[in-house]
Amino acid sequence: MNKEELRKHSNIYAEGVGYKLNPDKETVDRILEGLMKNEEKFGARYCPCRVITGNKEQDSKIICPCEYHHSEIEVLGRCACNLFLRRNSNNSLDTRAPKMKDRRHYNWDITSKTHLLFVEHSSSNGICSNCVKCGLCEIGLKARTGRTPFPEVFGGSQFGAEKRLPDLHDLQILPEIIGEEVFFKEVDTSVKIGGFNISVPLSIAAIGSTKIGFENRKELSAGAALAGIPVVIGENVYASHGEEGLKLSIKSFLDNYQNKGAIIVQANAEDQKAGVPEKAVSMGAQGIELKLGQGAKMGLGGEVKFKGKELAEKYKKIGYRVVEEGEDMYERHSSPGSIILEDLKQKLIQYSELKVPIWIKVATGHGIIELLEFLSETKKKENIKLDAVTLDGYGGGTGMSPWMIMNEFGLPSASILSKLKSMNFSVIVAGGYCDGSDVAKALMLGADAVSMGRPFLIAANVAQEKGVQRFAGAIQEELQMISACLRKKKLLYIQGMRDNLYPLSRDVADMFGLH
Amino acid sequence: MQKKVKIYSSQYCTFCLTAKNFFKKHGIVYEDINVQEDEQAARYITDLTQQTTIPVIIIDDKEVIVGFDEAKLKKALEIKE
Repeated sequence: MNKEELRKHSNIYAEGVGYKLNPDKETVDRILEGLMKNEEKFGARYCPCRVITGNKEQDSKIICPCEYHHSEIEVLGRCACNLFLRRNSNNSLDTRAPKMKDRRHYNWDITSKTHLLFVEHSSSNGICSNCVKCGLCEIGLKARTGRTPFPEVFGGSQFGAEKRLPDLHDLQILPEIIGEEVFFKEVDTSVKIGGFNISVPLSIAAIGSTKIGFENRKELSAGAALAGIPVVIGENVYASHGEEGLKLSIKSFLDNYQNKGAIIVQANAEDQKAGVPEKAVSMGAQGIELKLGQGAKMGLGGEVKFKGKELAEKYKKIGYRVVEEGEDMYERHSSPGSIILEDLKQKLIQYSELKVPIWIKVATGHGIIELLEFLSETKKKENIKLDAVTLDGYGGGTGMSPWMIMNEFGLPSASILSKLKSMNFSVIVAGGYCDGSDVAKALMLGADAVSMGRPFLIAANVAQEKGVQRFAGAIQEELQMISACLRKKKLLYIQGMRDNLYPLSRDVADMFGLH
Repeated sequence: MQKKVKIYSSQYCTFCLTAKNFFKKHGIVYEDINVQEDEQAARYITDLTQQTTIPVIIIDDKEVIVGFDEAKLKKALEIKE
């Protein structure tokens, strides 16, 4: 390949993943010449700004485009050798509101250090139509590891599906033209959801034991209390961080509690075995959430990698499946749990004795309507304290799940709302929601509230508990504006206003049951 | 007296060139070690920095600067302007 061909290939690559080639021709010429010289001398286009060690495996990481360039571009705006740059701020990709779907290139590259197969690259199978043999694609990764790709920063980042499905953004809100003026600042957003008074129909989704979740736990809890919304402490916190871990979150909430919102502790199959709901309530938790499933995992349990035999023994003792990977590395597979309706009923009766509201979280797969109707019937017949069910759908976040599961399973949770009869518990939807219009559309389709995880985690990362409070405040303002445009003085009244949603395609109409 | 400056570089590395031009501009005498021709030196800097990026600049056999960082270089070499 000559220099001009290589320039063309590099340019195709840069454009394809959302970067650009350095506009300084002299710099690019030098690097391209270096790459060609390295290919001639060492057999591959090794980065001229890195040391070739002679160790093939090690050196394969520095074949251009090297393994490090995504994180370098994220941090520095350029790769180490200055060949690839972040796109200019005048580029539409960078200046739009940070919707996850618009930032997909950045997200998947940085976190997984690989390019997953996506149709934007080329034909429908996702294989690059102009393969430059970089070997960084999903096929290359599988060839090197023999495993399905997982996001690589185990528990240190947050992840979610990237595939573009028809979703709430394909619904336009139609304002009410006739009616009395409503000043948006005066719209009342308070509601009673899942057994609690809350200031805006939002909840912070269960964020569990993974590093990123636990590091922000205090801020999320305090922020929820300040915002007056519920926050759920996610799974495995007790197993990973002990009673102190649970106490920390509960205390931060209660210290800032202003009679709105709630602190709820989630329990997955292992947590239930370990008696987490009982412990949490005795520590001051105001509700419990039984985890039956998660949108980003849809049938898998929590998958965690960690180091150390001692920890492995501890997890085994609690009841986790622990698999040794070699070099003192282990994988912990927590149980997704069985859903046997009769057993579930007994469990609900048992946990009702704790005298706090019970929430359930479940993934929206096949059988969900049957499950919800069973729960509704059970509540009618038995004296159970079931107060909310969170339907977690496609687009939901996680600290850990294989990309394949995140992308290829499930539907947006709001798509099942049209199939539900009126339920005797709150129906909360979750999975990929991140702004006020998402929340409003879900309410208009019939949901009682929306649960968000990753947006609150980002807010906590940016400005701690104040960030959480401000973010909830911004969503509240957006909801007030939408409610005013629909001429409703109470946000509650926009619930079920399906006629004010216009589907942009027949597929979208079918998905959300809008005809 | 000028501090002892060593730069571990390669011929086509852009920031290596930038660093060398910086030294020339400020009249700094430096020892240039091409890591593509000196295996031992290559191993030395990867062990030292635990990464493969060049240039690696070592001042007075003490201070190690990875990459071209003008501010750090100015401070280390006491260049005022």
